[in-house]
Amino acid sequence: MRSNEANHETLEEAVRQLPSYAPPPEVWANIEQALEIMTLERPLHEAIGQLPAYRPPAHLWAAIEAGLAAEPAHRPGRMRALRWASAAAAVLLLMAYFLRPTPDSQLKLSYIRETADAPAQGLYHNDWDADEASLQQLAEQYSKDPVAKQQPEYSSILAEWQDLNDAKAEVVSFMERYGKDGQIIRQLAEIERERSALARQMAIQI
Amino acid sequence: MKHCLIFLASALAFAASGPLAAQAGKLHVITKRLDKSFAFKTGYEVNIEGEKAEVVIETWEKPEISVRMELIARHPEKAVAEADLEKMKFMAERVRNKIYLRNYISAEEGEAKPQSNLEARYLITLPAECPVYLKNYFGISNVSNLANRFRFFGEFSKIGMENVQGAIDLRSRFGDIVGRSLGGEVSINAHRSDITLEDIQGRYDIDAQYGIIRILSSAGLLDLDINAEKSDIYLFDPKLNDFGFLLTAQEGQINYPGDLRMNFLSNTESLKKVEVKPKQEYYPSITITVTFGDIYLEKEKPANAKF
Repeated sequence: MRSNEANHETLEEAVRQLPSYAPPPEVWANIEQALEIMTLERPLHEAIGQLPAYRPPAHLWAAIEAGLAAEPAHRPGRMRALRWASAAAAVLLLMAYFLRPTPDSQLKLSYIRETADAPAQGLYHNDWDADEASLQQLAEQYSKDPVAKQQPEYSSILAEWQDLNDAKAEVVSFMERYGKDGQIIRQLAEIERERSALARQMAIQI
Repeated sequence: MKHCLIFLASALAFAASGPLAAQAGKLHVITKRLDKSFAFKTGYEVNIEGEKAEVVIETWEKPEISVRMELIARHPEKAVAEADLEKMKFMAERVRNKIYLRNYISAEEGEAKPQSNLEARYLITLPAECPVYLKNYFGISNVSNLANRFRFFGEFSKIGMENVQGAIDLRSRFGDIVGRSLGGEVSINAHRSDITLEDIQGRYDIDAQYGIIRILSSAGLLDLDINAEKSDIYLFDPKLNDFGFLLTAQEGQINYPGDLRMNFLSNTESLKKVEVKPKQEYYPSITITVTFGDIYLEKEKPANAKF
């Protein structure tokens, strides 16, 4: 069959290059099974459609209702059991009510707006990086020093230096998110003191 | 004309809340306060995860967990403080038997970082038997009167405890641990953290690196096991003779009062190891092992000691 497509050959070529997929074999088996069931059940559905319909006589419903109303009188034991069950259920419900945890309260939200004295200007000025280049240079020199490498604490000093560098970076990064205050700068100062002590130890061994 | 006046008034109001109002030396402090309470039942646990948080945990008799959380932003410009405050998120909810309390900063993608000084405060009041797991990052915590299980993990955070009993598990990195009247089974792992414990009872297992450990008065102590590296350890107790000791200092010294009869198992330059066994049949046992650090046993803490 030919179409009016201008580049018919190109289209055919492209269609040929499309990947082909085969369905798993069980799919065909399932379809065949479903068709077979439909064929077998067709006479049954036709016969159901031809069955006549009947309505019950009106007095029948009245008789059923009367029978239902009279039934409790004939079964006092069953009624008593029903009453006990209802009472037990009520007691259980009451117990559950009293033993239940008090519901968690709703979240209450409020805002307070105040002013406070600011810290003195320049108090939180960054001076902790002032000697950073010299310290890193010293650590670099120590790590390459042949004499220092012979010392028993060489590895542990470098590990400690790395630990303190990481801690300083963590404090500085946290300070960028939460801002500066006295507490955090004291923590930074403590780390800087330890780094300085370690740097002095490295300098002696070079 | 009327519109012009409204515009002028609005502009003035905006300016008043903004930089022009940022008076020299004044900060706007905006606090978002959250109050919530949870019904307590046996088996419940409170799980707190604070960042830059001051956490206070106290107890009461009521079967209820009360939480007051305050998120605070400080900045010279009110509008900046208010905007930054909203970047600080919180969680206060119960999931089955766990009550989660948390604060953290979450800025939308492309949103500027907060410029304000931010912090959180928690005041939690709960029944003494309620287990607590507290994590704090760059914060301060004070816990009192808990009687069941207390776990703490702090980084760059100080923890203070007063009359805490039961199973106590403390882990600290770059923080300080201070405890008074603690009792039970206590396990401590401290890295670059100082530890000060006073009036302690029960059993203690302490691992520490790069810290100073001070134990003051340990009359109810059953067992103390300290394993430390590059740390100094101080034990102050008027009744040192009542304890059994096994002390080891590698590349360190052992200092003790003259009337304490030590039996040296090793006394070389690099390794000092001593043992003391009291005369009585049952005695509390103290084992301290330290590498690159000293051990000090004293009957009284020095009068000028800061701790």
